Amino acid sequence: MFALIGLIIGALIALLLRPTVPADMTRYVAMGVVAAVDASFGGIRAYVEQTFNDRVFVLAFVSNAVVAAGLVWLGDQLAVDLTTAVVVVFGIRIFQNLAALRRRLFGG
Amino acid sequence: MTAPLSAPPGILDRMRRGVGAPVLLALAAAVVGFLLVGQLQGARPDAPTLEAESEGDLARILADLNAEADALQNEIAELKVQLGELRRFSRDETAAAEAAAEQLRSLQVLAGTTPVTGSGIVVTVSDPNALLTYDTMIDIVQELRDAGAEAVAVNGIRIGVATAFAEREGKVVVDGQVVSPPYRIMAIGQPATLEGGLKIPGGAVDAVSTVKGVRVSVEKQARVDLPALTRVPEFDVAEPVPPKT
Repeated sequence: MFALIGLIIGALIALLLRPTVPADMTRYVAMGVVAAVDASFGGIRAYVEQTFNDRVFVLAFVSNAVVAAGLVWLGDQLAVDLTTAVVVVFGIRIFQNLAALRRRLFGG
Repeated sequence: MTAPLSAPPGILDRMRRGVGAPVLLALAAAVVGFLLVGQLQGARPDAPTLEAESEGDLARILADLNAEADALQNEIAELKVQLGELRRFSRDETAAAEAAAEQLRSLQVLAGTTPVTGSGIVVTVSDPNALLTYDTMIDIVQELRDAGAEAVAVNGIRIGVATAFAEREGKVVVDGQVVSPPYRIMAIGQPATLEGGLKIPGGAVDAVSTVKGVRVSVEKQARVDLPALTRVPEFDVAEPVPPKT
């Protein structure tokens, strides 16, 4: 619930401020978003499982985003498309977290 | 829920109590939402279409665009040259048309096909005894032409290039028309020069004045009006030879 409210608030702020992402930065920002989504789901899961640690969460949130963007950047420097790798890894993790949440909430 | 040894427990406790998991999660979600919307709104004009191309295709596209730019540059240069040429032509043609118009004016005056006006003199020769013959007229007209007369008329008959003086039954005939004294010879030109030419000692006026009863008067006038030739000369035999280039 609070996560949903936060999402809407953030979206509203963005709509109001209209931040423009430089064209050559969009790829990195996109990876950062994916990482942040993953961290958010991880946080929700930990919260539901009563193992939420704010330091771990903040660290995971920031470092995931930074590492994801950094990895894509590194891939670009090496002329290797690492976007797929980041998307696959975080995608799997998002689904795992979702699955765990589902089990926990609805007793899978 | 293990507190790190390095951090003072009091601050951590306060932090934990002050900033709960829901707030942090909401904050994280807000960041995600912010970035998501920003990303969605980030205008990406035609980058995706180009990103989708392979390197070879990109090189080909670039080469095509370069070739097109070169072609357009060449076209610009060619059109500029063409523009310059056309401008030059039009200038030349304007100049040629002006020259032609000028020449036409001169020839019309010379040929007598148009009425003319200008400063000049009027020579009146009174000959009550009708002793003068047509060659006296020729002398006077020749004298005037020698003095720079641009157009001459005798008794209202314009003297053109093909005008002939003749004599018929003791009367002077100009282009088939009889003229009788007193003769009024009008000439357009520099009045002073014309007068000087006529009155030159031993000239036509001197010669004419010796004839009995003949009186010659010369008046300078600021404006003399001469009619056009009544009959425009026709050239049936003579053909112009084109100028050699």
